Amino acid sequence: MHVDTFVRGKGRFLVTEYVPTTEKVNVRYPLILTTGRILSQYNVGAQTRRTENVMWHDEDRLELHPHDAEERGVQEGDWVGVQSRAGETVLRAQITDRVQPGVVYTTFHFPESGANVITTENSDWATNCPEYKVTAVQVTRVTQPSAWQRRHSEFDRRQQALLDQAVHAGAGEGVGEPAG
Amino acid sequence: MSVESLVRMANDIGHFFAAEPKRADAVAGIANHIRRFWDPRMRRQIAGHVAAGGEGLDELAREAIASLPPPQ
Repeated sequence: MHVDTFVRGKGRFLVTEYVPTTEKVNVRYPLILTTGRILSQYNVGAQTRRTENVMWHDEDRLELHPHDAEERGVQEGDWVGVQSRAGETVLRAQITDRVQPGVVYTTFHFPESGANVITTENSDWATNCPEYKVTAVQVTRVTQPSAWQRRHSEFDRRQQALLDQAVHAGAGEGVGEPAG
Repeated sequence: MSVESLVRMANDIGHFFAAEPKRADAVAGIANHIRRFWDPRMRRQIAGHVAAGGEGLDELAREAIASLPPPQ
């Protein structure tokens, strides 16, 4: 296809301008939340959470700088509520200087942490790639998971119980046994 | 889809093409993107919004939408 020459000529360069996000911090949402991945879990973890990889990463934690933690009275391992303009969730805090003051970070490998509950609807104009790296949030110390997380965990517990029941009921006929 | 979302999306497209040195290229770029990638219902809705005054739309986006053939 490209023998001797490129069919559309050489690279075409375009001038682009920096377009800032509309998501801004303010007094109510003073921190920037950014989300990311870690090596031992793949995407939302649907596959890797079922493996022994959870020994390295068995929970999404909210990383925050010691300065931001101190201001909010947050200690390592505390439950913290993360509120954005889109929603709220609760995670356990991990205090670290891997993040800058003013920035908090979490991974999104576990459904119960609900990183996508708090991220905004903003997306790229051309591809609709969502803006998961910039969400203005506030972090506060809380005593328990949020209402939706408690509903989720109750629902999950019931589904698991039903699955166990079905597996037991069908065990004699080989139903519910993994193939191979 | 709410017309506010369409206005925001059209303006976002406009912010990218605003970097074109020639205004006509910017207008054509926006119109082309909307024509190729927006669903006919979205195009009808935004065209109707422009006909009704186009509140919230930036100049470039408005001009681009006005230049589109009427959606079927």
